[in-house]
Amino acid sequence: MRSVVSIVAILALSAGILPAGASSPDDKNIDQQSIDLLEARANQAAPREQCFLYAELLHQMTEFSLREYAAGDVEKASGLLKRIQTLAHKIHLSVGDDNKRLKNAEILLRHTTFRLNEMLHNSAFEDRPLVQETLAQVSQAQTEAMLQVFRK
Amino acid sequence: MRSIVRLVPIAVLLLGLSPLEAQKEKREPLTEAQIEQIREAGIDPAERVALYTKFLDEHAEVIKGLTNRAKSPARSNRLDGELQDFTALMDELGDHLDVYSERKADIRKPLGPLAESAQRWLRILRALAGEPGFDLARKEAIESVDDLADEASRLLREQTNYFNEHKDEKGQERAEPK
Repeated sequence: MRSVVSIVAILALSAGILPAGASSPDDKNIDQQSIDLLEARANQAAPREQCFLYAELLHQMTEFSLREYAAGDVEKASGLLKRIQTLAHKIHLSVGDDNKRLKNAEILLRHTTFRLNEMLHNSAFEDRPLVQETLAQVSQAQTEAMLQVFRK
Repeated sequence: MRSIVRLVPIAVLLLGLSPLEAQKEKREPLTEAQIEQIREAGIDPAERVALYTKFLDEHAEVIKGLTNRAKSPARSNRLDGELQDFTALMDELGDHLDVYSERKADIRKPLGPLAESAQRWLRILRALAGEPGFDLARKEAIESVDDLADEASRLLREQTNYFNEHKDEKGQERAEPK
């Protein structure tokens, strides 16, 4: 019997039926290409899906910005932060009350604000205003998503 | 041991067949160029409704063109696919309208042309005589156009009243929390 269970479990795992081990959302191998792909997907998604996808995109861009900043490419990191601000506005426009993915979006946004806060404390003095402004906009989007979750 | 022998082929069959079935059923009603236009419209509700109306118009014209062609299995097959795509697009648009309506997005501008177009699409579909090869797809398409035409007209009325009462919200992409 044990062997039956093992075989079924192995087959199910190999087919991706069972979820892979939980990993931190920051563990993903994020690069410009994966961001561009996700952005294209979010832009063409159904309106109900867009809020979560933009939140995911915003999170990936934040992680990428953090990495570029740590690597010394301040210009690239700043460009990403400016795009994050535009995305925060898109999240504001797409927050709906219609699906459980809103909760996931809210969690992702909360985590992103935490990461931006880390960036704020670790960044050079002259770079802080942009990080602070971005953090404020993402926080606003997160608060809005959270209120919408409670409103349901 | 026997149970293992029985389980393995079943599991292998399930793993192997599911993607094939999915591939067979999955149709993409939009071309790559149309998808690109949707991407560019992004989050703009009015633009998206206008684009879907345009794409549906294009599908309707193809169906109209096929209506008068000589009957053949190829025509029948093509019509079946076109009608399925047409219905899938209308259902997608219907879902979008539900969301935009909940959000109180101002989509009055594209709703008028949509309501008019839906009546034209209905005429095109009714002019197409049913055949066994695509009759089910044709009936589903007619039902979807009916639903979409009703929804577009109802929404237009509701939005006209709403934005007359809430003039400060005209042109908004969603209702702001107050």
